[in-house]
Amino acid sequence: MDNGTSNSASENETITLKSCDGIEFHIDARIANRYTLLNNWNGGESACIPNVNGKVLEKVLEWCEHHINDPQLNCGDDDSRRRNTIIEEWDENFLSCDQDMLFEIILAANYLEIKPLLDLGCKTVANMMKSKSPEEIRSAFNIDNDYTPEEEEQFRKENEWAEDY
Amino acid sequence: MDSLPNECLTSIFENFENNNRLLYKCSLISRKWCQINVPILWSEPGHHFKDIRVIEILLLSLNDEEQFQLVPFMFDLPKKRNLSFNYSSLINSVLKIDLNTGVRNWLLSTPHCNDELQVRIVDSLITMLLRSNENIKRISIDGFNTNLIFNHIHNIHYLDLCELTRETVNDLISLLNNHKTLKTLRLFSNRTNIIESDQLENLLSTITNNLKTLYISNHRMGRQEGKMFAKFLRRNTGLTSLTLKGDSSWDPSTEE
Repeated sequence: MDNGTSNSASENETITLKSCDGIEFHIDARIANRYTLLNNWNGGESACIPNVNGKVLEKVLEWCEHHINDPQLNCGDDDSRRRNTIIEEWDENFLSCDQDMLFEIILAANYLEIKPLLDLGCKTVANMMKSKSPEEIRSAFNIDNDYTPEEEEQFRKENEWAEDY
Repeated sequence: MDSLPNECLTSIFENFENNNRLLYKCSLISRKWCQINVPILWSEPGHHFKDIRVIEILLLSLNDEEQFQLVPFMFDLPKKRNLSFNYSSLINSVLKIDLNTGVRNWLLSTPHCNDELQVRIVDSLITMLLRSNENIKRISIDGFNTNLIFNHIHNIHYLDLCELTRETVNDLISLLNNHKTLKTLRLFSNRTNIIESDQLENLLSTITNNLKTLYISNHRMGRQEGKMFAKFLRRNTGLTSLTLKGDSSWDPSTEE
């Protein structure tokens, strides 16, 4: 077995990843090769992923496994990936979890640099906001309005044009 | 939601690019969301830069020197007030055609509407935008006062120029000599042969390998110019798109 830094891992090759709370996952080495999970794998028998607990890592790895045969996108495909607003049914069901888990998945995808999962999570949150009023968004995401009335009025005056375009 | 770092929130809101209404709505949620959304909202000027409310914000950003250019016209700028953001520093593209429309619309709402004033205000706004954001990536302007405008360019990736004159092309050659970051250059004109042969050779020789796209409209190309382009193409291997639109008296199939 090579040190895992090449992209030539075979289907039967597995590596072990350990979450920050000590839970071990045996995964297809091709998944680790595909994403920067490997950055935390120092070539030993197992890699410890700090900052991601077992419950979240399990979800992230489930997603990676399902998408193992997806074509890999280049850096230059960032815009086209973002513009693609369609979410596949499997992904939609996958992210139909509670809000805390959804944010944890986004955080983990960001930390582990799994861009397609990060984009998917962000797109899901964005879709949740689309039809809501500002007050409904604050209530749904538990956010306080910390504007002073004067600040809010000034900001509205300077940017109200945006409502017309 | 509070646990998400700003970079994740930015990724969420970038899904609303080109949807100003949603970006504005999300800006109203909290100060933190506002700080993230406003740069996206103001980054790319679109049709909304034809809106007089936006022009008024831009006019408030003129500094003393830029305002001084307008003094001879004896008109009243919007009353000075502090803005919530330095909006002009967030704008990444300068599209003169939209600014022209916006300024005309704004002047129509005042007692001072005249063509010369409109031109001067637009030039002052372009100067101000180039001063406010050194990282403006795209500029789309006509061939008037390019010397003044090019002097304020720091770092540019995308340049559209229309209504070229001989002076404009000379200004462009000087610009290209000093700025090697340009990736797209598009030159438009309603009349043929917008670039004379001697200038064309100079222009092509100043273009660096960073340029990916070159577009020249209404250019009648002869044998001599064909050879210039052949030499240019051999040297500029980074070019991925070359469009030459217009009549051609030179048939490349007969060239040895």
